[in-house]
Amino acid sequence: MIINHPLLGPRDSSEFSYLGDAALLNRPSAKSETATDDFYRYQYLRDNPPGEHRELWYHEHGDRSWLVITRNMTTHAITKVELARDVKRAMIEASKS
Amino acid sequence: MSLIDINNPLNFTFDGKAHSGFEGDTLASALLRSGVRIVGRSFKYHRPRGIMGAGAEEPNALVEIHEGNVCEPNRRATTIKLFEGLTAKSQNHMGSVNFDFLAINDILHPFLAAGFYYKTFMWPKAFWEKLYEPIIRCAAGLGKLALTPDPDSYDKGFLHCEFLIIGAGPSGLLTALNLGRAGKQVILVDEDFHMGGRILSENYEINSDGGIKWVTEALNELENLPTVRLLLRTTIYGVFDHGIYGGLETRTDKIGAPGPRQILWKINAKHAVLAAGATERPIAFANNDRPGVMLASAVRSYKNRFGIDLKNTALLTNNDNGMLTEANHIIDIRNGHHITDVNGRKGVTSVTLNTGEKLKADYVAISGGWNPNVHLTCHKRARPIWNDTLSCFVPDGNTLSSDMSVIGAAKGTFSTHGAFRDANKVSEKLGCKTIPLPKTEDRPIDVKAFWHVKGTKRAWVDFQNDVTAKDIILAHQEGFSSVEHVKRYTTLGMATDQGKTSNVVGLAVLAEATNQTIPQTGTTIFRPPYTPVPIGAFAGSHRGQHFKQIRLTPSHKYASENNATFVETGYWKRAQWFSRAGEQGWRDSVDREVIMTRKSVGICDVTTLGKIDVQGRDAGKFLNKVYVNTFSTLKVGKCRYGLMLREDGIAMDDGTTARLSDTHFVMTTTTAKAGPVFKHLEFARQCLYPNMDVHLISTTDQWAQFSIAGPNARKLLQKIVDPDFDISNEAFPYMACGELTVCGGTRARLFRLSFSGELAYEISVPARYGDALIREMMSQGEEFDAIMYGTEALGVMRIEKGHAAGNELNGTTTATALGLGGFVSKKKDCIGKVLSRREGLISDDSMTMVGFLPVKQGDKLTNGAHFISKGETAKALNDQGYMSSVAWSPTLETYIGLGFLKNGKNRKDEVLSAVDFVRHNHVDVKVVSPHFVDPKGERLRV
Amino acid sequence: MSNLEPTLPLEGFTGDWPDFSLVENFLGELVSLAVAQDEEIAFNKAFKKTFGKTPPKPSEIIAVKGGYAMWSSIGQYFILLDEPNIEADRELASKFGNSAYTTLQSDGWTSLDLKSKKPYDILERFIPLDLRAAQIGFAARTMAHHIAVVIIKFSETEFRLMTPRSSAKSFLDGLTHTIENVIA
Repeated sequence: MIINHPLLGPRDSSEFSYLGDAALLNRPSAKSETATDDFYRYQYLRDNPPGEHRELWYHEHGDRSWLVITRNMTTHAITKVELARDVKRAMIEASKS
Repeated sequence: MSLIDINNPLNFTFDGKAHSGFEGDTLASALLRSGVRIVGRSFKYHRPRGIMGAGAEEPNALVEIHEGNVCEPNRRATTIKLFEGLTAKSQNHMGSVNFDFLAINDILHPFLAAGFYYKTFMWPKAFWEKLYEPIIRCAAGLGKLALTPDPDSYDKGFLHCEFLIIGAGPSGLLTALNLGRAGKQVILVDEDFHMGGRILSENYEINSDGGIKWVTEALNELENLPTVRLLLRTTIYGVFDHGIYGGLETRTDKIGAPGPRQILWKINAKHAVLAAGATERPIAFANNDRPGVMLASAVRSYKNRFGIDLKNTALLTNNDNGMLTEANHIIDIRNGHHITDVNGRKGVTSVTLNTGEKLKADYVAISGGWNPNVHLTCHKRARPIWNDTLSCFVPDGNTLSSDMSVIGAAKGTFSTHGAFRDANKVSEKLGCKTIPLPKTEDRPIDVKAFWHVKGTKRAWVDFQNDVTAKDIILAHQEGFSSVEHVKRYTTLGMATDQGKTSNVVGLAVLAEATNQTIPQTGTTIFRPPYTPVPIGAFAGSHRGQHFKQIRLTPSHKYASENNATFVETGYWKRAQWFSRAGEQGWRDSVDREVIMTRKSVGICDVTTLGKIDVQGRDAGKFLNKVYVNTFSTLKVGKCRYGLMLREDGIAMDDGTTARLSDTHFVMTTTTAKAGPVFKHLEFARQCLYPNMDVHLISTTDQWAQFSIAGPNARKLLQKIVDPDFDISNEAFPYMACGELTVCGGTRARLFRLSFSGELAYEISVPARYGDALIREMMSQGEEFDAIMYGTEALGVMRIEKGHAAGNELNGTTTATALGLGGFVSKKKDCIGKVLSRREGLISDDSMTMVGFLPVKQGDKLTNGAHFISKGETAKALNDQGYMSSVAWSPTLETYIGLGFLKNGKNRKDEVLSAVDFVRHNHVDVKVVSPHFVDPKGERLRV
Repeated sequence: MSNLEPTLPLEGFTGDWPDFSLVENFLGELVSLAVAQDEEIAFNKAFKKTFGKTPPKPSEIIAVKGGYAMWSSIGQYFILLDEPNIEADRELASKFGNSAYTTLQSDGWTSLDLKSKKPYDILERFIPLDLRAAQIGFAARTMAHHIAVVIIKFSETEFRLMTPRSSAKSFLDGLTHTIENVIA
């Protein structure tokens, strides 16, 4: 599989390691009253769709960046690769407004 | 026009008999020329078999090459390039290939039909293990493995191109010329040792001259085009995601030839042009497997390319292409004639026609039509579609991957002119100018579908797995009617040839039996590899010592000079203990190291523990997020123990983190977890807290680090540390840290940490000085009888102190279980905090870490033993916990253990059974505090 | 001045084969330079002042005052200094002030220079990247024979390979084995 790194161009997937659903970016607040339940969902419940999936990959043997990759689980086509840092920053901005 | 070099004879042996051939021969062509008729016995029925094809599609001529412990089974004689000294043997017979004792299977054939093993060998039950299974095991399989390591060397490589052209027949060659002339980056591959494809085996003229001339000129030009790379003897065995192709290049079959035997290439191409040609298919009729029955295209290959005249041939064909074969008798199916039987068990003698006529013949050439080699279009799950006019499957343009084009016979364009035309068309599509089309034949196909002559005798479909038309019909009768079931029930298409000559015929037989059309019947899926790939090729050079890297510590050389025994910890080699003269075994060494360290001073290389540099304005804040305790409050010049949890609340790793400045921390991790913790920290930094000013970099290899432990540790250090620096107990108390210099100005860092429980420090210097430092310290340490200690002694001492380590942080234990519940800050969140408070993890019954002593002095404790309350039966239901770490304590002269016990902290002094069914060692143990030596920690603080 | 003798990871290895030469060079110093969050302007200014150029882009290595600078990850650069100077990280830290964090990295890496008229014959066997297409001044971190490597293309005939110190010997073994496979 080839991952088109936004800064480094196409790299073989063997340079990366996979973590899981990009839902992991959305860490719940520990202060919430429903924290235990929120964290349970965050840690364990996944949709696992047969189509497009957003997931987290770590460029372990490259520049150590974390990426959010949008990949079709059936065709393996990768349609989007973003820096996780940018995605999370946008999420933080959005939650402020 | 043959391509063999008669001036270059080659000697080889087959089944022990000497033969000769020529440079340019395959083993098959040389055997045919030598008149060898029988080259093996069939898989199930042990029927004599001869060479049937001329390429990778060969189902019968599977031979074993080389001898004894380097023999290689199941090689197709048709794809072995003949070399001087080749030794080959036929396979699958008991006795000789000409007289096989197991030929009795052929007589027993009614009992050996498809799926027979599902219906037999069941009674009596006892006979299975003692009789049936051993017999089946002996008879099963094709070929035998050498049971010694593969002596060949292999390599791997990575190639990049714009266009990968798969197949160097007419369409592939012309495409390569067009793209190469246009300056495109092209890789042209062919599985054969001579490029040219079908041109090499036929008599067509190209541009009014022999086809070979055109091929030679094309190759000359391609070899000189700067952006074209040619790979011979290279099979593209698989198509993978995103333009990745697997190629297996064979350099030689000779044992002992210099260099790698095969190279496995990972090829990255923006676009692939599949010009893989087509494979001829036979027809099923009674006894169509006799030696001498061959594919018509193969008969022509042997004539035109290898100069072998197969005299007295009867041709059976349903199409025009077959008519190109020179034959004494022509049986044209389109005229209503076909063959109903073949006589001559050890080699064709005659054929019987449906007219009743019997014709004398030594060879039967069959042409049942051609199947485009669509395999590579299917590796990403596309399926081919049936073309009625051509009577074959062709690639489905609608489901074909957008980065692959198919041309020539692989597409169903069977004439040479058509192949050239396809090549120019695809070259234009890919944006290149084209050469004017060479003039050559453009014969129409004119095929009449004909698959199978029905009859009572067996008619072979899959020659390699001995599957007949009857088997397919039987499968349907027994309810296995779907094409996927028929394949697996009959094993049709499952042999090493993967059905290259049998899939389509088999489908057609099934379609007839089920009264469906071929498209309705469907196909099974082609998967990589197209032809077998040796496991050695996948390993490349990564075998034996090169399988994984070895990481060496800065003191490795010194340790080797001092009789260290090394242990592998992940990739690292660490000194486990250092042997001295007179010591009988490892226990003597380890006991000595512990005693000497606690008595005076010992030095241990702890470089392998992960070191992570954490810098930034928010470094302390960041550490608060990942550790259960608080680090933002840590003062400059101090260290603190930290525990890290996984988000699910389980303990992940522990270590000490030192603060060198307001914005600079140095974290340590365990050796095993250095990588995973770094990944975890980067996840937190980039994916959870991207707005913090914090930066991470690994410094494990940068700093050589040694622990110096024992009552004389400070005295030894004072001889090393430069006089400017005060390391007295007052100036440098327990858990202090700082940057200083040693040995006359060598930059260093000092940390007052203790894993052993003794007065101890860790000193680190840039790794370039690691070797020099250990030598200097040991030299200065002579006056204190300083010793080096290894990981075993390190382990004994930390168990004596009751420090949790990898055995305790085993992925199932929580902070509470480790006795560190109080360590978790109540004031802040951290990764893992919320889920660590789940009911199941903090119940009264939860396991906590405690210490164990044997009740009977001298009893041995074992790791992994489980605790059962006295009087209870030793079964899982009564399991109270388990022993996690055990050591012989030379300090206390008894075995000691650490382990996890339900409600352990409230069960002090209780006596339990520690049961160990693996090592058959059951002992009574007493629950004690895990801190065996210096529980008050007084020695640490002197 | 330190009394201790420094050692190179491969003890100054040199190897010569027909068409290929491999030399462990003295690294000089390697310092990692990380840009402090929100301090990009101050960082770029200090970089220009210290090194005479603007920082390199991803996959780039550039010649700067005192050596080279290469992009190593987002907001992080490797500075390769020609002169030995064990205090290099501290000196750079003082030049950059609050705009950067420095870490000494020289000892963590081994540096091998490969010179050849046909370097790709070797490199294609173990570097998965398309080095032929890469520009002069290409620098990337990747894996070779399962070991981390930094590959730098100085010219069509000169490449530098950097690999972690602790596995240097394994890396060299893999590399010499590859050279021998190619020459055979």
